[in-house]
Amino acid sequence: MGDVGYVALCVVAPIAWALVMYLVFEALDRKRPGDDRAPPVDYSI
Amino acid sequence: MQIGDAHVSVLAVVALGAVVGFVGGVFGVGGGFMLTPLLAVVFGIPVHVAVGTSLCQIIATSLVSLLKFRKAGLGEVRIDLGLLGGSLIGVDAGTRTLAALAHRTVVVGGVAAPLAPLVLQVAYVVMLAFVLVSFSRGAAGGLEPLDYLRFGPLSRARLPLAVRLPTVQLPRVSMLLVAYVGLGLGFLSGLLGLGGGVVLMPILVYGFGFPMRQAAGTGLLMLFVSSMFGTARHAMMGNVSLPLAMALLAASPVSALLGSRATKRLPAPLLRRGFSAVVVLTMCAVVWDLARKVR
Repeated sequence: MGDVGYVALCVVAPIAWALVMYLVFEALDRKRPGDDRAPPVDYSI
Repeated sequence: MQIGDAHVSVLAVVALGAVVGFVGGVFGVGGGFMLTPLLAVVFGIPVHVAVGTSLCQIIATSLVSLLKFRKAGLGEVRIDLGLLGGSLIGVDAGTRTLAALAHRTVVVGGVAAPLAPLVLQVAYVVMLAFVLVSFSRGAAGGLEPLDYLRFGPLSRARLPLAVRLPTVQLPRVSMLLVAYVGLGLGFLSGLLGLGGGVVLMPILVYGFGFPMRQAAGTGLLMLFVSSMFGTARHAMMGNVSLPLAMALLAASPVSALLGSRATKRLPAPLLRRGFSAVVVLTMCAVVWDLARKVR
């Protein structure tokens, strides 16, 4: 990998990492009991 | 002991490790911001060895501080994890940059001098000035009132991939921003041999609005992992002196523990004055050495 490729990796990798962390924390928050989000609406008849 | 061309007193190195560990424990930082320049300037140790060995010493101090702060329930782990990915890449980039600088020379006063020590010393002066300004802002009345939560400019920014921080109760902090902060801290770590905690703390307190004690406990996990990785990278390049690291580690874990206990017992103004004095002395030593080289 050349210098340009390495710099590109340095720029892009944090985005990928941030996305992974975001998905993990969002998933954890969804499971957390006592969450202050609105409960899912039940549309069943 | 002999390191490079420098003959170093073991007792003096142990004492330096103790002081650095104590300061690190008090403020929840690794202490590399004073260790690397002092090793290079006061003891005359080659700068690449000072950087690598300093990172090795930070592993121990950051682990002790991490365990202490986690036990007290202080620190936001989500920030640590967000910083980590960027930090590891940054450490690698910083290490490569130092290796690239090591082979270059610059002509100063008609004499060819190695570029790496000059660049690092200038970077240290800038970084220590940043630390001093940040903490003197705290001394002007910022630190105690910041024991409560407020929303700093970085937590108000509407950036993508925002998550909730349950420990410090911030509703929206962008993981993207946190990952790039990690990249910057990692780069400083690999290049200058500092853990990055001393730069992270003002960012957390004034940027995100963390309470002071929570900020001190945040980033230590990242510090611990990235200093391990940085030590491994520098060791592969022969930049870590094991005898020097062992002398530094002889007293620093215990003094870091004492330092983290002292945070609660010693009056805040005394701690601040002591910290500022240490930073100013380190900066004076670096500036003096830099002026001596340039003349």
